[in-house]
Order: sequence, then structure tokens, then C-alpha cells
Amino acid sequence: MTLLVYAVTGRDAVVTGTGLAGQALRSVKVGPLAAVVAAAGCSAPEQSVATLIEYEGAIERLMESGAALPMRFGSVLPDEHAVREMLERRREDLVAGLDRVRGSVELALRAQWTQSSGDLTTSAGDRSGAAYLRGRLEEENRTRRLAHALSPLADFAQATHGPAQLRPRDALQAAYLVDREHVDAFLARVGAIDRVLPDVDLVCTGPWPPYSFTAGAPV
Amino acid sequence: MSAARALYPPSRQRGSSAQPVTLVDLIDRVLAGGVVVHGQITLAAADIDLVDVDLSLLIAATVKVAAR
Repeated sequence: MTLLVYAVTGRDAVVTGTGLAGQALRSVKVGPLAAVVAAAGCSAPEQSVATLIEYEGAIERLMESGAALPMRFGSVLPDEHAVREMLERRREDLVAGLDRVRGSVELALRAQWTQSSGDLTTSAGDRSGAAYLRGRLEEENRTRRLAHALSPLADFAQATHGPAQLRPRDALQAAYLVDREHVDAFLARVGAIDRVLPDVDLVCTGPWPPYSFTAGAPV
Repeated sequence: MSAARALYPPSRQRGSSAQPVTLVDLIDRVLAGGVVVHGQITLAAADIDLVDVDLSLLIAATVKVAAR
């Protein structure tokens, strides 16, 4: 029976309740690790927003009782044997991963240029190539200044992913692995930085399971 | 249900947790982050047939998966 894998946890994690489509969650344990799985049913999970939210909710519940490494959505394995094989093959990495994220949550930060600052490459009057290049240079400079302005946030985090520009309309995005006890201080610092950057709006969401910090040393 | 929400700015905390700003971050994470299984990932979307995707191919982080 195909299994949808939700997360990897320590073997003592409390696993209750159901996942997608009311399927019961259970643990497959190998050594110090456990994979939290549920029957995938006759078809793989539909990729609707509601399904993603439900999937996320199941992983957040697992995090309440200990460290959890979330699986990328749609991780289906053919049977329990395949799940055990994965845990055995990747035992070292997964144990290290759990140690890395234990006690921490992921916070997502997005910086967007305010409407008034907009796209520097198109200026009202001058449509020359030189003007375009000047605009590009200005954009790169201000992005670099923004990344520098955000750099103090790394001091509050166990690990940082980014900042990088991932979506065209965002100036920068970053993810931070933050100890639960430091989340308030982190958010206070986000607010302080936001206040001194009049041309930028900062948005922080979370707490997320550590999706961005599951694989070895972060970028 | 998911408890992840907009933490800053504080005024965005009002309303449901499924605000657009949170959904974008959710999609970026569940579809492009997390532990990846070596093997086959079977995906389905509302308007396409079941698709078996070999993990050696790059999977774009989009909500709708285009049929191959």
C-alpha cells in the first residue's frame, strides 16, 4: 500500500490524528528515527491549496512534541519497506537534521519595494539604453544595501537561507531558523529594520516547520 | 489547521491564517523545501491525470503541475 510521508521525527514523537483524506497518521520506526506516514490511497494527493494547508497543519502538530523534518509535499513511497530503507540509508543526515532544527522554527521574511519606489529601470522621460543601464545599476545597489540592512537578523538565527531575490516583485526573500525563545526578539528586530527603511515593506510569516533547513549546511 | 500566519507587521494578524501573504510562503515551502525522497514522486492536480515524475527532473514550485 502506497504511503504518503509527512515528516521525519525522533522515534519518541507523539503521532496522533489524521492526515489528508482522514487517513490515520502512524510512525514507521528505525533506530532513533521515525517516519510519519499515512495511507496514500488509490491516488496521490491533489495539489490544491486546501490540501497543502491540511498537510502543513499535520506537520505543525508533530512539531508540538519534538523536532520534525518536513517532507516535501507529495513524497509517496510504495510501502513500509521502502520507508524503512530510506530511514536506514539516510540515518546520519536525518539525525543531524533533527539535531539542527530541534527547539527552533522557521521564519519567512519577504522585503518588497513600496509602490512609490517601484522599478528603477523605467524612468518617465529618458528611455535610452544608458538610462536603462543606470536604472539596473541603481537597482542592484539598492538591493545590496537592503541585504546589508537585513544582515543583523542572522544574529538571532541558528541558520539563514538567503537573502535572495526569488520572485520578480519581491526585493528579497530569506528564511531564518530561529530558536523558539528568540522569536520575539527576532520580530522586534524586523520591526526596527522596517522602520528605518522607508522604501521597503517587510513581511514575516511563521512559525513554519523547517522546510528550508532540512538538507545539510544551509546556503 | 495550519497555525503559521503573518507575524509582522502586526496589523496583518487579524483575519484568517490563509491570507495571500501566508499562502505564498506556504507554497514556496511545501513544494520546494523539505526532505526529498530519492525515487518517484507521484503528483496529481485537479485537472490533470496522475503523473509519475522521476526526481532526477526538476520540479517547478507551482501550484498546478503541468502535464508532461
